[in-house]
Amino acid sequence: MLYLRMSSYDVRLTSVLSSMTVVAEQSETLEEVARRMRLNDIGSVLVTQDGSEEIAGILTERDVVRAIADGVDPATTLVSEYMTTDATTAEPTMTVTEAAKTMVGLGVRHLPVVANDQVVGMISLRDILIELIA
Amino acid sequence: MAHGWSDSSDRVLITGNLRVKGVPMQVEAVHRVLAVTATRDEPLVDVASRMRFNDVGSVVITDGRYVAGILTERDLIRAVAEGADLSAATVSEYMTPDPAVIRGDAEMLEAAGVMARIGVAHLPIVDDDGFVGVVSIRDVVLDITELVAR
Repeated sequence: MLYLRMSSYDVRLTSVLSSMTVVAEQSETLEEVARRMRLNDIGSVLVTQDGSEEIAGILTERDVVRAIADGVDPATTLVSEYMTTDATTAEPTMTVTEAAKTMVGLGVRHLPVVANDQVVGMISLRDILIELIA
Repeated sequence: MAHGWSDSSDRVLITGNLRVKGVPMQVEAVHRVLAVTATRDEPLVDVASRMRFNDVGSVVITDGRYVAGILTERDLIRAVAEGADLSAATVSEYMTPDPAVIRGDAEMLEAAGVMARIGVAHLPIVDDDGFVGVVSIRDVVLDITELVAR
C-alpha cells in the first residue's frame, strides 16, 4: 500500500535538490554530452561558458531529440546550437509543490535551482515524486 | 484544458483533471488522448520527429492493440551516446520491450508508486482490449500535488 507523505508538500527545495550537477561546455558535441547523460543516468546538464563557471544555459534530453529530428549529426553538432539559454529557474526556498506546478505548467521536467545568481543544484520531477510518496 | 475525444473505437476519452472533490482519481481519466505510437521497424530519426512534433517524451510501440514496448527520450540519448546511425537504427534495437503498464481503472497514486519504484516517467495504460493511452510523471505529480489543496 502506498501513502502520500503529506508532510512533504511544504518541504523546501534545499533539502531535496541534487547538488551534484553535471555540466557541459557550449563547444562540446551532442554525442559527448549524451554519453555523459547516459553515464550519470540523468536527463539534463547545465551548460557553462567555455573555460568559465558561468552558466550559459541548460541542455535536456528533449533538446537532443530535437536535434535528432532535425537530422543533424550529433557527433559534429555543438551544444550551443541546441541548448536553452533562457531556462526558468527555481529558488531554494520554493516548496516542492510550487516547483512541481512550475514544471508541469512549463512542460519541463528539470529546473536549475539558483540562489544569489549561483546555481546550487537541479531539481527534477522524479526527485519530487520520490519525495512526495512514502 | 479538459476536453473529450472519440477514438476509432468510439471510446470517449477525457483529458484534463476531472477530479471530484474527495474521489480518488483514476489513471484513465487523466491520461494522454491520442497517445503517440510507433512500430518496431521504424528508424529512430522518424520517431524523434514524431516525439518533437507532438511534444512528448515517449512513444508506445504497438503491435496491433498490444503494447510491444516503449521508446523514451532516454533511449534516444543512449543511441546518440553509442554513435548509432539514427536513420538506420530501428526502434526495436533501443526500445524497452514488454514495459511496465498500468490499468486504466488504477488510482493515480498506484501509477505514482510504480513510476517511483522502477524509475520511469511514462506508463502505457491498458484495459481488456489492449492499449488505450499513456500516463506520464507530469500527470501523476500534478495530481498528487493537488491533493494537498483539499
